Amino acid sequence: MSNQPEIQSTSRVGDVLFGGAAKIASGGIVLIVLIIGIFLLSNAWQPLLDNSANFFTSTEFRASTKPPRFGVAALLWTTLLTSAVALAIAVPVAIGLALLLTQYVTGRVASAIAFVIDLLAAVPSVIFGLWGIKIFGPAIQPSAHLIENLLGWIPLFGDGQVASPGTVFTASLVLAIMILPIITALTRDVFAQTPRETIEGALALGATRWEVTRLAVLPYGRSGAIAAAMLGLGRALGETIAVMLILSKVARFDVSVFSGGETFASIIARNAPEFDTPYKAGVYISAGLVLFVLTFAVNALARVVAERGKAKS
Amino acid sequence: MSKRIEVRDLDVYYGKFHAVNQVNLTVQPRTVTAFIGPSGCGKSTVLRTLNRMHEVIPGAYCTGQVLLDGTDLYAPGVDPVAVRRIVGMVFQRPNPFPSMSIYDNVASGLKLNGERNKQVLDEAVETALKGANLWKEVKDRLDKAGMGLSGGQQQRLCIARAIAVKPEVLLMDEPCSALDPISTLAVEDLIHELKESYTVVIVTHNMQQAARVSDETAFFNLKAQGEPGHLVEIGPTEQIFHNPTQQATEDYITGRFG
Amino acid sequence: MTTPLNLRRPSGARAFKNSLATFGVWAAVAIATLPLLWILASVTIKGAPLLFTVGADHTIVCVDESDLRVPTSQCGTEEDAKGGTTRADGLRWAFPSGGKHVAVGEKVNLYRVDTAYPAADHIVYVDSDGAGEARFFSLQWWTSSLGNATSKDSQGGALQAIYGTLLLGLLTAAIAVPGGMLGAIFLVEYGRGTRAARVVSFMVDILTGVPSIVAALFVYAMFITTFGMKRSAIATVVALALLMLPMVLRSTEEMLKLVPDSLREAAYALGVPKWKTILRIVVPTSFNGILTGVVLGIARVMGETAPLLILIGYAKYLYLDPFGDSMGALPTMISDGISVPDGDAGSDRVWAAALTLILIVMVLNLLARRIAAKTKL
Repeated sequence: MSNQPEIQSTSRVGDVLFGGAAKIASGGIVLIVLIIGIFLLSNAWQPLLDNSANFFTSTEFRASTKPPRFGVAALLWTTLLTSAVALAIAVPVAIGLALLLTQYVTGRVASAIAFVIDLLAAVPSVIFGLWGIKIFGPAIQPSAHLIENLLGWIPLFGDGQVASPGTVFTASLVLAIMILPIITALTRDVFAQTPRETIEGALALGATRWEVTRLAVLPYGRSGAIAAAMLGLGRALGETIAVMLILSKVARFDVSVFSGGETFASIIARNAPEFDTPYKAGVYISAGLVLFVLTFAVNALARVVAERGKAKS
Repeated sequence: MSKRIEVRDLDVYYGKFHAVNQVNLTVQPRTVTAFIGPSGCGKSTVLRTLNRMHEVIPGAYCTGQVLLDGTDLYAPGVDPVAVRRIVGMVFQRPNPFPSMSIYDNVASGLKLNGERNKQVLDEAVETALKGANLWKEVKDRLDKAGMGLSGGQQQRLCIARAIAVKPEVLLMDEPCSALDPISTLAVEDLIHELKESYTVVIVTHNMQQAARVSDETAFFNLKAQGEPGHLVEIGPTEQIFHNPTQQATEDYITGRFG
Repeated sequence: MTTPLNLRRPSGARAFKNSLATFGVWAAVAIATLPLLWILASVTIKGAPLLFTVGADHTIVCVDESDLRVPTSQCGTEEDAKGGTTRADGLRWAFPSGGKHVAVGEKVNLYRVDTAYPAADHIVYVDSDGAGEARFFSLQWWTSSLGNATSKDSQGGALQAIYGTLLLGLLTAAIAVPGGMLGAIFLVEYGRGTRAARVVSFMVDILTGVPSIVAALFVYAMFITTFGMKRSAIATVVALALLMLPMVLRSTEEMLKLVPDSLREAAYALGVPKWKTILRIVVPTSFNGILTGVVLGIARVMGETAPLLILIGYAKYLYLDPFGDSMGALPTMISDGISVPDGDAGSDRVWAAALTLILIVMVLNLLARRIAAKTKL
């Protein structure tokens, strides 16, 4: 009886210490996300006040002039355009891959294909950038010119005055390849959870493989696939080095996919050597802040969509 | 509308595992035939070979013949998809398509066949739902989700979905095992009516149910775990339950094992 | 009475749609596989020679039409030779023959390359235009830093970048692994089902989605602007740890969830306190799975570039000090040299750096698969 309290107290000390550490680590994670926002905002505050251009509508971005003149309109356009084109290409391919892996093949073939996708996910983005600008970009130039000639009358496909392959077009295609694995992996997980009974119900009606997919798999996995696409979008919006290596700088902003330009991430990374004063850095941090808010919103929305999908089924 | 099924020298394998050995049986048109037997005896497997659903499992195959009015379902050039069109199936758990309304669930098979005419679809849906004894309960909410129905209603919805395409044969794989007694009664009543127009084969764990609904009963057994299952005997339900020819059947019926 | 049964494959629109879908999903495999093979092939072809060879101080040897050697002074300049009298089309590799002279192509009649190193392990690298460069086996790439080599020098290795990449990866793991594991232990063992756990879980998702450039800017804003510190490897490590932390946390969480509750209960029943149960039983049981996540996380951060651009200067010399303001790393070696024109030695080094980085990352990935295959759960 007498030593019981002692035993209890030692175990409690251990639990308090260890459980406390676990709680602190977790609390720290919550804190980090909040602090990121606060620090970015506080550093960008003064340059934002001094800004002599409209932050939301200007396409200029000059940190060195006094006062600085910078706006995010062009960055926002290029960022959204590259990501949107990338998504438009990657999502159908990813859904195709996810369907193949869950409905069409099994065993060794499936694991071989999954292995290829894992390897693609493992390739560092700087290598995607290098390959994109040196090999892939030049290789797709002829098709880019073809589209430009056919659809050039639409401003979106107009002559962007960029001679090199460093266009939004090239960057988007490379981005599409980069976000393919993540969207595939997430979509595949959702499709794999389609209840067996539903699939067999469709089969027993005499449905072909595609009809089974359309009746059972796609409706079941729709919200999961949307969430996966949004997480892919989050990746594409924030992708830095590959886009920076590929996109060429342009003198004047142009909406065309055959123009160059800068995304939020690429302009920050490219101008990192200019961060000689906190003030100048603050100008670029303001762009980072917008990117943070953008990715935060997309990721939060993806989570909501995924949760809602889970709740429904 | 209903066909005779003849199974000849059927052997089923899952990869290397020999699941069912040498089954020979005949199912008459417009009858209900029940498959009974202990777990693992291959009764569900044999049922699934009747519309080639066992092929869904990777590595599964069978040898022998399954003749539907003389046409071999396993002849070269026969497409499993086409087989399942004429041999419908109802499963253990009700499995309506989750994203579809009641109406769309019943119409789904017809739509797959390319039927687009609204009037034809409306009539077929009504006929099928009436045939499944569900029409009165759902006729005012055909556009509501099929998942919103009770378990027993969902199962009858699945039966309606299966008979909407007017199959030759209807297979039922323990259709009442996930249902409460009242829903079970409703489905059993329905089975009685279905045999007016269909050949019905039902797998059941419940011997009373087999006795209640079937005209013929087939008893499956296995010698030991890991051994292939086989057909012990098939005959009129009355005879199997009261005067079986095999000792194993009698032991099973009287509850000595299984 | 019996109508004949039609059991043929459905034809028409249904069959067409089905075939189209099958074609589509297989096309998706092609679309995913092609870039991977293309990337691996181009990086290997362009980068591999440098990893095991180095440019020699080669001698140009001139021969006349009848293959006799003539004094170098009579054969014009190297530029003349490139002008058209040489041919080595399609030939990219040639091996020394006879020990002295090296044939680089059948029609070479004026300009030849002599390795000046007659040993059999010499490799002659011949450009497609016939301009030759002698290479011989060397591990210089792995053993010396780039140093003062200009973009036209073929000498110089990548030791400083390899060291930097490995060091950054290990230091990052040193921070992110304990943090991520503790967070996961909180989520699974202490906070399961609580409101706090949901908030943490949500924030981890958000942190997973934070772009690396934003994490880097945050570290810059906090450490450099606000606290007045200098750029350093340590600052970079903090940013990389922010990226790795959620990866480790999620994979650990998944693994801990797989540990059956019966195991925990068995330990509690023996009177083992909770923290000891976690440390002695839960974590060891899922150790292989956790390690897999850690190795994959390290592989991921080693390929990160954006934080390095912002938080540390790129160095061509080997600096060992993690508190110094510059350090080489393979990703920045690539981005630093990307503007070197094709054909210059510096451009080859970019590809070699890419190959080295891919090799490190792939080895780690394969290692992770190995570990995962051995998992006890």
